[in-house]
Amino acid sequence: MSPAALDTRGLVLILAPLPGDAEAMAHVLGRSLFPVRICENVRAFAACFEAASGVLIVAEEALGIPGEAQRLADVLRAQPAWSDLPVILLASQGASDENAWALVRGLESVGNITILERPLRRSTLVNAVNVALRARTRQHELRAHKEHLERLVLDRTADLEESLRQLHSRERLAALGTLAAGLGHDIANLALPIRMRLEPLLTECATARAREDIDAIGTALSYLTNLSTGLRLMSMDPGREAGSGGVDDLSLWWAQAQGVFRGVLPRHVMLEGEFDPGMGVRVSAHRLTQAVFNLVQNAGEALAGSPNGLVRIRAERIDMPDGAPMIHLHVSDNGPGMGPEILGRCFEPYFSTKGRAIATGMGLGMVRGLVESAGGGVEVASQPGVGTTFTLRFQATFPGAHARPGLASRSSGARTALLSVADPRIHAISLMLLKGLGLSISDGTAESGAYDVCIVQDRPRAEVECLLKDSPSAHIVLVQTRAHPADQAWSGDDRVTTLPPASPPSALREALLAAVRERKPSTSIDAP
Amino acid sequence: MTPSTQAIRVMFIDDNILAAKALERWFASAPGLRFAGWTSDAGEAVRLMAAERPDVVLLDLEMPHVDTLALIPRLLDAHPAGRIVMLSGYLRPTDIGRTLDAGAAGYIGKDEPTAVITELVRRAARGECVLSPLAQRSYLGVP
Repeated sequence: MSPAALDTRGLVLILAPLPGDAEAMAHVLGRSLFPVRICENVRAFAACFEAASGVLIVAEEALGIPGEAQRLADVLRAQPAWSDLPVILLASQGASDENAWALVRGLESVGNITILERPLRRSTLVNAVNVALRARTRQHELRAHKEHLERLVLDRTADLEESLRQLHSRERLAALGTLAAGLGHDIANLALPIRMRLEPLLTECATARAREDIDAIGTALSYLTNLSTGLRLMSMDPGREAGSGGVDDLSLWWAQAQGVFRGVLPRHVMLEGEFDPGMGVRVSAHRLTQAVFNLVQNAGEALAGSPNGLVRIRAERIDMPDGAPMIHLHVSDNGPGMGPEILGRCFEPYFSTKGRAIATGMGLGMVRGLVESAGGGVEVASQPGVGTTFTLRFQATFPGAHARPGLASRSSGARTALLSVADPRIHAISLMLLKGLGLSISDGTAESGAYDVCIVQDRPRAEVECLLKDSPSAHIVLVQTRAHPADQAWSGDDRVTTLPPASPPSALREALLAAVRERKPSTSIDAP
Repeated sequence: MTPSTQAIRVMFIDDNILAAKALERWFASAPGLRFAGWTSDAGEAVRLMAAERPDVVLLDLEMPHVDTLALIPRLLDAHPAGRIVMLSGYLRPTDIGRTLDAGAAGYIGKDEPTAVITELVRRAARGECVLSPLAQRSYLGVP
């Protein structure tokens, strides 16, 4: 049967060996606008039976021919699972019940049978056909629902499998990050005592040869320290995502991360980096490190048999037509390259052309995921025999690019903060954070209106309003160390962040980061 | 706060005996600094804190069987004027944030040059809150 749709006027098949009876029924049903087809035997019925068939009317005498009842049973048995064609069996007038039941028993295991005794009223026939067609329509509706459900299950299963694949990849990535962070921590733990014992030796040693040796050990130690820092860059940290706008200076990032990248390249493969100072990208350090790490690792594997292997990483500023600056990070190798077929599939999850002794699970699909989750994009260009270049595209950031427009420099170019806090610990923490964020700090003697950020303690509402009036572009962090009357509560101005009593330093940090970055702060932070 | 004429007394809490020995030797030769003891045990640390009353405590973040963040308020209870500074190989912003929230006066990365560590210890003893350059970069997201 073909999977054709059926309307409530589905085809009525009439299986009757006597042309007169068949034509009479066809005439009656035709007047009620039922499409009808007459089949003189089961073979003819089998030839025209299809999904669009709505009901079969069988004259009892059609099954009187030897073997026909069995043949009809075979045809009905061959229906698909969803289909149960209604059959109206027209018993002959005066025929014994035994004959009719004998026919029903022969078909009941495969048929959906109604017995009507002739002669029939026209209305009886039409009504019986109508009832059968409605039942047939329900079968089609159920079939459509079933197929829809099956499609949904398939789609959801595919989604689930993809989610599981991604989860698996993320777990591996997290495990790799944890391993790298632990290793970096252990190296730092060992490097500290070496450094502390080495530096006094420089002043104590007498000979130039000894000083040269100590300098060389110091240089090696410094590489080890950079490696340790780079390894920790591989570690995921949700706090970093929240607190950092990205990698502010790629040249600094490169200085720390290159040791990790060198570590995954064969000894004969050179690694070069080219970064102009002050170029930043809007992606967290760990995502960038993991993405580049995977590309460098892949390049190293591709260059395993190349005697003059080179992996080159460089950053390029691209100004988009709308003026927005982008940074393109090119990771190139002079390996064997990829043909069009591999190139077209290389970002598919788990697609690989090689086996790995230690599988990280970080395929190129994961690289793309890491980059795209930061709002960037990845492209690849490759030429067999020449090499491959992956280009990671990120939004650019430059020193001060995160600052709010209102924080732009005034006459001196420096941003100024007012710090008027009596609580010694909050004062010390505020001072540390403001200095760390590069603000020059005033105790309140600077000229009016000169502040970009104000941290003030327990100020009454009127004084805060004065500050806002004098410094319209300032963001004010109002630290409360005691409960204030309700009429002193501050709300409705996103230039003011209120820290309730006992707020931890991290709340102050959040408020300040919100103030100096483009993030819109909440107007109140809940006390712990 | 320590008068300028007195040496700053520094206690070290870490399970890394190599680092402890190196710090002891370093502080022995650093002007104005004095090594005030070392332990890797939480209970002993609280006892030493009360007995020795150090100006600055350098505390490692991760030690076996020690919840270092919970140890910070216990140390401050034993000697409220003491300044607890985390000295750690980890530079995760969450660790730095939790350390400061627990009452510490600063966070220093173990990767920092010795001169930087020494200077930050002096500043912490003067009452400042301190972040080493690597910790600052991580915690505030700025170079």
